Amino acid sequence: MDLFRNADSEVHETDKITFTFDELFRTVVDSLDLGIVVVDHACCIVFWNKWMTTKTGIDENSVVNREIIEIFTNINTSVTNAIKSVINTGCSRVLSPEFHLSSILGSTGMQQFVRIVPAETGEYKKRGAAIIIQDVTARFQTEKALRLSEQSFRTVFEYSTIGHSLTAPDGNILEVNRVFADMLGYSIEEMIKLDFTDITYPEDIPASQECMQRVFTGKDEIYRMEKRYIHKNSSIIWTDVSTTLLRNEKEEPLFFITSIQDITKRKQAEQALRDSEARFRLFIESSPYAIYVQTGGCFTYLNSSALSLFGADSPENLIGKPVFNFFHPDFHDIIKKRIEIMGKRKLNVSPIEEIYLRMDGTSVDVEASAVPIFHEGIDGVLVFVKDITEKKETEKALRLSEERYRAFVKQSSEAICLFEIEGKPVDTDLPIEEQIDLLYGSAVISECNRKFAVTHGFENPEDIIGFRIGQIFPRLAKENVDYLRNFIQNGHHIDNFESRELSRDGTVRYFLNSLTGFIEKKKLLRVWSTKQDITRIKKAEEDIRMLNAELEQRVRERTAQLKTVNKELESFSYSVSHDLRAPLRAIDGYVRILLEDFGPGLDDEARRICSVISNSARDMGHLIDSLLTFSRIGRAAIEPSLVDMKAMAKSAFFELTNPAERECIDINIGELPSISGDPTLLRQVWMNLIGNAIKFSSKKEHSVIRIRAETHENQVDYSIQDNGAGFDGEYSNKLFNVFQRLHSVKEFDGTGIGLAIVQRIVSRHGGYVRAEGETGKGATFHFTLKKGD
Amino acid sequence: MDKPLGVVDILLVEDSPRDMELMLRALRKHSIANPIHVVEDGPEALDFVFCRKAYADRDILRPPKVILLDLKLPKMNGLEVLKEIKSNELTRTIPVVVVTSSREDPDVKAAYSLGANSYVVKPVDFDGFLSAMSNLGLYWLLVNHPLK
Repeated sequence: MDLFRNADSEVHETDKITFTFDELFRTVVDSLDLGIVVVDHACCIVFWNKWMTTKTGIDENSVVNREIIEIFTNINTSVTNAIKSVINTGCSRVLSPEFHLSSILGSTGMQQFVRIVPAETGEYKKRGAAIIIQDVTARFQTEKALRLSEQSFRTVFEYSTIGHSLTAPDGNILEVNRVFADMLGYSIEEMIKLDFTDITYPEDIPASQECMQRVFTGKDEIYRMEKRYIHKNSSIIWTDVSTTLLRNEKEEPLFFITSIQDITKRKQAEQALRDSEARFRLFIESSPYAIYVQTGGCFTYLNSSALSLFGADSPENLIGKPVFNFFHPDFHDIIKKRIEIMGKRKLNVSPIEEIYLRMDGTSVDVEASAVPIFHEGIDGVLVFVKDITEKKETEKALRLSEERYRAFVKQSSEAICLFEIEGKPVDTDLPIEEQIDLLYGSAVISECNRKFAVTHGFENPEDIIGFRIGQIFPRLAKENVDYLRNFIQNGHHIDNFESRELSRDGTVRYFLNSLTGFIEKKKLLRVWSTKQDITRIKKAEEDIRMLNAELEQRVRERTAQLKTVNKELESFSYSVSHDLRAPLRAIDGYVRILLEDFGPGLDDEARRICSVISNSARDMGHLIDSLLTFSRIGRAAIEPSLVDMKAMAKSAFFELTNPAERECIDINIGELPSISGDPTLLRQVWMNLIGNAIKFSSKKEHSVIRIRAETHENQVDYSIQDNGAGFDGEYSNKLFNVFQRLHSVKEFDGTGIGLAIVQRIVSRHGGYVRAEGETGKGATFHFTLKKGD
Repeated sequence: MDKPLGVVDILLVEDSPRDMELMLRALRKHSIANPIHVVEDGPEALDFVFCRKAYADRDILRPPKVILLDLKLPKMNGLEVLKEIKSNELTRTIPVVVVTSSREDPDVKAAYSLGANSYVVKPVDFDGFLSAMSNLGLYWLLVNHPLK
C-alpha cells in the first residue's frame, strides 16, 4: 500500500535512456506527460522539454548550458549528489519524495516522482543524466485520501464501541479490536492466535459457516445473525454479528470483516420477557377464575379452570366451537347485547350473573365479566368467569335461614324485638353508665313481631317500629336501668330478667326478658330483646305461694290446736291419775280399816267380799297406770342411743322372775344385735313381750322361751317365742289394739294394753310388729327395727 | 284443831279428808306420835307457816320439822305454796315432802326445782301407802336434822 516504500531503491539498467536529439525524438519527448531534463557530466542542462517549459514558464533556451543548480536553486546537495552518482555510476535512481525538485515546480503544489537515469549526451556521447519528473499530484492525493481512509478505518476498528474482527477465509483470526477482545475476556494477542471455531459456541458453528459460505460464494454480500461466542471463562456471550467479505480488485476473497455487538443484556431482557410471559400465562392457566377468549363467536383460548368449568377434557373439545352453545338460552339476548356493546364502544362490561351450560348439558351459575380485545386483526372478547354455584347455594341457605328466622320471629310465642343503634354504634369499652345513656339515646325498635306489639298494647308491629328503648323500658323505673346495667356488665347479654309492667288496660303483667347484643369490633350495633309474658305463671306461683302460706298458717293453727289438745289430754291424764286414784285409795284404805278394826266380827263371806273390793280397786289402779304409760309413750320424745339388746332382754327376764319361777322356765336368748333406740322405751318392749311369754306359758309344765334375732339388710327382726297358750291366728291383727284381749281375765290377768304399748314404741322407732300363733301351740312375737346409722 | 297450838312437828297439807284420815292412821300405825297439824288448802298452809291470821300466835322461829304437801289443793296449788315457803329466808330450810297421786306427775319435777326435799306417791293399795308414809316419817323426823 505504501507507494513510497521503495524510494532510493536501485533502478534496473534497462531503464537507461539514450537521447538522440532529432526532431522526431523531440516531438515525442515534448508530447510526453513527463518533465525531462537532461544534464551533461558537469550537471549542465542540455535538454529541457516542452512539459518543463509549460510547467515552469522557463523556456529551454534560457536554461541550456546552465548548471542545474542555477535553475533549481533550492535543491540540496543530496539531489546533486544523486545526479552525480547516476552520471558516475550509470545507475538510475529514484529520489525520495522529500528531495523533489520543488523550487520551481513545488510552488505549483505539484507532487513529483523524480527518477534519475543515466544518459549519454552530445556528439561524444559523454555521460550525463536524464531527470524524469512525473506529476503525481493526483496520485498523491489519492494516496493521501486512502491514507486518511485507512486511518479512519483504524480508528473505527480500534476505538469502536462494538467489536470488530478480521478473519481469514480459512478461519484464522487476523485482527480484533479491543472491544471484541474484552467482550470475550481475551487480550488482542491471545485472540489473534485463535481460530473462529475456538470462540464460537459449538451449536452456532454450522450456521456461522453456512453464512460465511454464502458470503464467500457471493450469494450474499453481507450476512447478519445472532450467534453465541464463548467467553474465556466459558460463559456464553450472545452477539449480533454482521459479516462481509472483503475482496481485492480481482474479486478474490481477502478477509471477512465482522462487526460484533454484545446482545447478552438484550437476550437477558428477552428471556425476562419470555419468563414474564410464561409467568403471566401460568397465572392465566392456574387462575381459579375461568378465563377464555372468543373471537368471531367461537372459543379460541381457554384456561384449565375454564375447561373444567365447561367440563371439557382438553381445549380441543371447545376451541372453534360457538360460545353460544354454552350459554343458557335465557341469557342469549343479554349476552348478544353485551357483545354488541363491547364491539361498538370497546368498553369492558361489568360482571353479571349468568348461567352457562356444561358439555354434558348441565347448567352452572357463574359471574362473568368481559373485556374487548383486538387480536390479530380480529375483534374478540376476553372473558373472566367465576363459578358462583357455592355462592348461590350460600345465598339460598341464607335466604332459607332468613325465612326461617322471619317465620320464627313472626310465630314465636315470645315477644321479640330488635333495637338498632341509630347513628354511631356504642363503644363497649365506655363506662357502663355512659353506655346506658347512649342506649337510651340511640336504641330504636327497627323490627318486632306482632306478639311484641300486642304485649305493649298495639295491634300491629308497624305501630311500634321507631319506638325508643326508653318507651319500652322507661328510665324512671330503677329496675329497667338495672336491667340494662346487668346486660352490659354481663357482656352485653342477659337472660331471665323478670319485669313487672303496667299494661294499657291497667292490669299488672309479668315478663321474663332477655337481651342479646351484637358486637363487632367492640361496637354494639343492635340489641335483640325477647319478652315472655309470664303473668299466668306468676299468678300460679303467687297462688301457690299464697296456698303455701295459708297451708303453713293452717298447719301452725292445727299444731297449736294439737298442742292445746295434747296439753288438755295431759292434764286430763293427770286428773285421771289424781282424781280416779283418790277414791280407789279410799276404797282400799277403808276396806283395810274395816278388816283391821272389825275383822273379828266379820264372817268368811264378809271377808271375801272385802277382798274382792280391795282387789278391784287395785286392778283399777293398774289400769290407770297402764293407760297413763300408753298415752305417755305416744307423746314422749325419743332419745336414741346404742342399746345392747341381749343384755336388756336378759335383765328384763331377771326382773320379771324370781329364782323359783326361773327354775320352771327354759329360756334361751340368742345373739341379739345392738340397735339404736330409746333405752327406756325398748326396755318396756322387752318387759312386756317377755312378761307375756312368761305369763302365757306359765300353765305349761315347762315354759320354753326362745329369744332370737335375724338381720335382713338394714333391718333386725327380734322374736320371742313361747310354748304357751298361743292364740287364734285369725285374730292376730287385733292383738295389738288397746284393751284387746284374746284370753279371759280368768285365764290370764292383764289390762290389754301391754301389746298396744309394744306396737306404739316399735312404730315410733320406725319399725313394725307382728305375731304368729295357734291356739294351744304357743306364740311368736316379732318386732323389726331399722339398723341405726 | 281448835285447841291452842303448841309445838307442831308435822304440817300436813291435804284437802281430801279420806286421804288425810288414811295418812294420819298410817303415821300413827308406825308409832309416829309427833304432833301433827292438818290444813286443807294452800292459803291456810301459808298462814300457818308464816304465823299469820289464825296462826298469828305461832312462833315463826319454831317451824314444823317437816311439811307434807299435797300438790292438788283448792284455792292455791301445792307448787305455789312450795314456792312461797322456799323463797322466804325464814322458812326456806323447812323440809318439804311433796305428796302426789302419780309418779308421772310433771309437777313433781317442778316441785324439785322449787326446792322440794323429797316426794312420795300415794299408792292405791293401803299397804304400800302405809309403808311409804312411815318410811317418810322415820327418815325426816328421826334421822335427818333440819338446819336451824
